[in-house]
Order: sequence, then structure tokens, then C-alpha cells
Amino acid sequence: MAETFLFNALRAAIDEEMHRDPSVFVLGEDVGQYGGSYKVTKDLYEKYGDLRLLDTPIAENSFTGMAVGAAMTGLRPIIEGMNMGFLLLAFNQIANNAGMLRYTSGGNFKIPLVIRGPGGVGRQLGAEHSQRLEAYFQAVPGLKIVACSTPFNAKGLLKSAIRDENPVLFFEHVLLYNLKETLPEEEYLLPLDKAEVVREGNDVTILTYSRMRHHVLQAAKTLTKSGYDPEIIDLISLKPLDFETIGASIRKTHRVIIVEECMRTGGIGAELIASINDRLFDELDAPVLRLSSQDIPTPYNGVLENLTIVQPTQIIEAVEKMLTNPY
Amino acid sequence: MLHVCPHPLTLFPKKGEGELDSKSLPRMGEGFRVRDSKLGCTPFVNSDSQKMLLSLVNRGTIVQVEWLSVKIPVIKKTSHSCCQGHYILMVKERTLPAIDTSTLQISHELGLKLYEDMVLGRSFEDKCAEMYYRGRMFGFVHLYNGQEAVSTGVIKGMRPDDFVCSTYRDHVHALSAGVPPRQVMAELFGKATGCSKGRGGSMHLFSAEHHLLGGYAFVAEGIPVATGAAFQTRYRRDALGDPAADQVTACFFGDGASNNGQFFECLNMAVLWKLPILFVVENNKWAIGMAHERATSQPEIYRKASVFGMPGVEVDGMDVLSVWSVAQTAIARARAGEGPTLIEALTYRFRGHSLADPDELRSKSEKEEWFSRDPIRSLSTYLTDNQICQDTELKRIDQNIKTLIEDAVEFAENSPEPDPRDLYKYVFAED
Ligand SMILES: Cc1ncc(C[n+]2csc(CCOP(=O)(O)OP(=O)(O)O)c2C)c(N)n1
Ligand SMILES: [Mg+2]
Repeated sequence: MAETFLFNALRAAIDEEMHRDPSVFVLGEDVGQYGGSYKVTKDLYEKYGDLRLLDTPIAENSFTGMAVGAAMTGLRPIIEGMNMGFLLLAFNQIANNAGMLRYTSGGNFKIPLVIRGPGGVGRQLGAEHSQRLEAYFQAVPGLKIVACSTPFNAKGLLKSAIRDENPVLFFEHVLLYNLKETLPEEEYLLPLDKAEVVREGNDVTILTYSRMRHHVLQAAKTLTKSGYDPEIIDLISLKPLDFETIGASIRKTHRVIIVEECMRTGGIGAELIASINDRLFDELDAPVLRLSSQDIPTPYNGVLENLTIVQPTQIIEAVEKMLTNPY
Repeated sequence: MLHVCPHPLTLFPKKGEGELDSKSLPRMGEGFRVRDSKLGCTPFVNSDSQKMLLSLVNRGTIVQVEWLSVKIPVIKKTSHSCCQGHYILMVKERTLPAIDTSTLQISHELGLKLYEDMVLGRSFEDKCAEMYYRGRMFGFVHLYNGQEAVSTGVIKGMRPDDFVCSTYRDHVHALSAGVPPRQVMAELFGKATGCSKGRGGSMHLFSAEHHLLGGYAFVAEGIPVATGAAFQTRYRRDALGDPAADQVTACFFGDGASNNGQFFECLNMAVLWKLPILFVVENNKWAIGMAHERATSQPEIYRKASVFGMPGVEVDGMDVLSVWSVAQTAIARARAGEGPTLIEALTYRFRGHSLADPDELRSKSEKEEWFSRDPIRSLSTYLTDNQICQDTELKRIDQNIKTLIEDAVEFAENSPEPDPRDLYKYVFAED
């Protein structure tokens, strides 16, 4: 495939999977005639018709519950959250039924369901449209949580998520839809539970995901010029965490910085730190450092919004500090 | 095979030239029911009802087609000279009960007040579009152009101590509720002087002082909040024994929101506890790209009140006097402790869903039909034709509003950004 936008990579994944398996269908607000708010289902309505691109009323909890029911009885629904924040209204169905029902039913049912859509902080969209939700869902048993970050991984991961037999919460980032990349011509799948080593290095392990991957890469340009050699890992799977990859890196660098967009309190980073302490405490030469968003609703004002999320300069400072003042 | 008649909204297959196919049908209206004496009414299934319609037409049966009553297409043989003898599918807008405005006593003062508020709303929104394109405001900005008669007709008939609750399309409700244009504009600029101190933005306007319970960015989530404010009034009056507690809450939301569970849950509770609230549905026919008739099994939203035993009224939302009249009845009812009313105002937004919406699905002819019913133009014609107000008075209002809006922009421009040291201010009540 030629240079492909991230939104088109997702579209291709859905198109290929719908073509391959007639039980795959998409439901959500404006996914059909409108083609999706971020064009991820553009023109698929014409191709697959109104039942496979089901335009729903604005009834998130109920259409999510419907998807659970359809999944229990043999279909493979893909829910598009027009903005992942709107799925807060579907929290009950996601937590109780998508997440827990397989267990509660003692294995009677499985729920092959993908819930995907844009999350994260955009450009001055206001608090409710700039949510960092991944951590809210992290505690729900039975859910897999994935965050894509490039057109390449978006496509391969989404295809795997659609084929997975479990409910997968699939986070896209509202500011990454227009990233471009040349994709392979041939079909490919990526594992849902594998972190991606984005840059190999020896000094410090930087754990990140979603849009912050790009902030870290930006910071790395400056850092490498000054002679630092960070290892950058994109977590991809926020649940379960890929401790094989994370562990291998920490055993090499003995230092960890986490860069995340979610809240500091109860965030993905908080869980990472706890797990690193559990498993790898003896490997650490320094306390794990965590750069997270501020614990506030995302403010509309641009100056405050920039202060709320981690900026590349903060990442540079954190690495410099950790590596120049070894404990 | 498809011929489009020059008459607006008319499609027909040419006789003897094969059959009407599904592509010939207007794209926006793929959901409709066919009413036929022999067949009864088909259930609402997009592709099924479409197939059925086509087979009937192609067999030459003339049927009445109810386009889920928002638009009413009628299939009949045409009498237009250009397409005579062919079957045509005509699409008409839902007709509304006309209110006899001659019985309304519109005083000079009231006429000017309504006109002024509507012009304020319109001019403010036009200025927002300009400022958005100039990079002064960001995010999703939803403008209210076209719907002014609803905000004005309801809110201008309320008291300052009554409550107003809105959605993300909230600028004009805020203005009608008395929030100064300076504060609204400054909020959109993200400034510290904005009504939400620059923290909220377009979809989160709040003003405790003006009893504006908020703009709510998520569809339908304001409805329970408004219901809570109405409960507060009832509580104050009946649990705390305060005879002065007779405030009314007006809760605005869209046709799309009326398909959300929170709407039904709140109608139920409001009747159950006889709450002093007006549920005002602004049915502008679209929820972003979702045509109302494709999203709901009963497009006449006002009818949904009846199952809860609540009065439901439909009103021409392009006519401020009709809205005013219907709202006055509902407000009086609520104030007297007789409970809630559901008002469905049929209206239209003159712009895209937000300034980021390409607005590709609404047909040109639909837009033109509604543009021709501009509520501000209708009011000014009414006021001058009936000698309630002078044209010069209206012109003076236009001029004053222009100055007011320029002042609001200047104020917003010159206001300070929030202090970065206040990043954590307002998280808790003590801040
Ligand atoms: C809970 C929730 N779901 C979806 C959205 C996205 N969204 C914003 S406005 C809108 C359409 C609402 O239409 P309607 O209620 O008719 O109001 P209108 O915009 O026409 O005024 C949608 C789907 C949202 N903001 N909140
Ligand atoms: Mg609407």
C-alpha cells in the first residue's frame, strides 16, 4: 500500500476483516452514511449495507449492551465510540457484561467484541472531549486494552483485535489520525499482547504509549545528539502489560522513566510502577520516574492545556536528571 | 432511468422505462413506513420498507407513504407538465399546528425584547464563526443559527431566578439567560474573564449568577441535571416550606438526545414527582449526520410525553410567537406546581453541526426550504406589518447589537489568559 493515513489504515483493517468474515459488523453513531466522524468507515456503508454498518441512535449504554448480546450469540461486533469518552455512558455494559460475563457465566459465553475510537487530549476540545480513559477501564477484569500509535501498528492490531475471542478496548488518539506511513502490500497481523521496542538503547528504558510515543521520539532526537542512549518501548498492550519485553529492557538499563498521557493518580504508570517493584525491584538503580498528565479535568485554555499534558522538554529534562545524578 | 423533476424534492421513474431502483430514492430518507389500507403499516426497517415501497410503485399501486412523518412523501401521478403521467415521490415537510397569533397580545415592549434577543443570538454566532476561522477560538464550536426563536421564545418568558440548562450548542441559551456577551466571548477565547474562567470553552458555559446550569458536552447528560434543579425547587417549597420557591427550569436538548435513555428516565421521574420543568426538544431534524427519521421509531417526539401522562406539545420552532405562547402555558403550569411539559419545537440549524462539520448529507433543497423561514425575518415582518414596532426601531436594535458584539470581542481580546499558577484551582470546593 502507498503512504496511508492512520485513519485509512484502520479503515482497511475493518474492510478486510468484514470481507473475510461475514459475522463482523460495525455499529455506532454516524458510522454508516456519514462514514464515521474521523472517516474510519468512509464508504463502507455503500459496500456492506445498513445492517453491517449500523447507524445507531445516541444510546451508548444500550447499543453496547446490544453488541454484547450479539457477540454472545455468534457475531463479532466492532463498536465505534465517536469519541471514547462517550463510552463512559456505556461503562456498565463494558464493565459488567463485556468484561465480566464470561467469568460470571463460568465460561458459558465468550464475547468477541472490539470497542474502538479516539481518546486522548486533542487541541482545546474541552474537558469532556479530552479524556484519558484507559486507566478507568484498567481495573475491569476480562478486558484487553490496546493503544495503537502508528498507521502500521493500527492496522495489524485492529485486525487481531477483531479476530480475538475476547472484548478488546482499542484506543486510537484523536491527534494521530493523520499520521502517514507506507504499509506492506501483503496482509499482516500484530500480536495484541506484545510491546514494541521503538528504539534500542542502553541508558534508560522509557515506557510510553499512544501519542506520547511521538513526544518521546521527539525528545530522543535532542537526547541522542547530547550523547544519551535511551531505549524506547511503546507498551501497545495496556492490559495485560508485556513484562517479557519490559523486563528484558530493565535488566539491561536498570533505569525507567514512564511517559503517559493519562492521569497520574491511578494511571497506567501507577500500575507499571507497582508491577516493576513487584517483579524487578533488584534490577533498579534508581526509583522509577513518572511523567503523567496533571490530575485535573483537561482545561479548555490552550496555555493550561499544554501544562496539563507532558511536553517533550520535560522528557528531556527527566532523562538528563536521571542520568546525570545517578543515585 | 432516474429523472429528477425540476420541482424541488421530486423524483420519478419515467413511465415505460424500467423500474424505480433504490438509488433513485433520496439518500437521507431511507427509513420510511408505507401505509396502505390492505397492507397496514410496515415496521420500520430501512431496507425492507424501501424494497416494499419500490415494489408497490413499480406495480403501479399508488400508496400513501409516510416518511416517518417528519417528511411526508406522497406517491402519486404527477400533473406537472414536465413529467406528466409519471409516478412521483414528493417530499413535504411535516406540517405544524398554526397558532392564532391574533389572540396573542404582543406589546411594543415585548416585540422589541424578542427581536433584540434573537438578533443578539444570530449576530453573536456569526461573529463566532469569524473568530473561529481567524484562530481565536478552538475545539468543536456548535452554532445556533436558525434556532433563535426557541431560545428566545422560551427563556425570555422566564424570570431571572428560573433555571436554564443547555447542551454543547449553548452560546445563545446563555445569552438569552442574561450572561453578558463579553463573558461568553471571553470564555470562547479561553480567557480568565470568561463565564467558566477559560476552563470550559464553547461546550461548557456556566453561570451560577444567571442560573445557567451549564452547557453539557455529552448528549442528553444535561437532562438529569436539569431535573435535579427542578427537584430542588419542589424540595424547597414542600420539604422546607418556602412559599417563594416557585422557580421553573427549562431544559434544552436535541432530537438526537430524545433517543437516549436519560430522556425517558427523566420524563418518568419528572411526572412522578410533579417537577416544575420544561423539556424543550429542539428538533432540527439532524443529529450530526443522522437524519431524525432514521434514528427514531416515532419521529413526533412530543407524543412520547403521553405514555408518562405528561402534556406534550409540538410547535413551530421558526416562529417565536408560537414558541412564546406554548412556553407561557407550560411555565405557568410548572410554576403552579402542576408538573412538567414536553415541548417539541420544529426548527433547523442554518449551519453545519459544528464548524468542523462538512455538512454533506443535508440536501440543498431542504436547506433552502428552511432558510426561507428565517425566524428573525418572520418576526420583523410581523412586528412592522402589524404596526407593533417601527422599522427604524428594529434598525436601531441591529446597530446596538453590532456595537455590543464588537465590544465583546474587544473585551475578550484584551482579557488575560488564566494564570498558570492556578492550574489546580477549582478542582475542589475550597479552591
Ligand atoms: C454521549 C454522547 N454521545 C455522542 C456525542 C457526539 N455528538 C455530539 S452532538 C451529537 C448529535 C446530537 O444531536 P441532537 O441531539 O439532535 O442535537 P443537535 O446537535 O442537533 O442540536 C452527537 C452524536 C456526544 N457529544 N455525547
Ligand atoms: Mg438535532
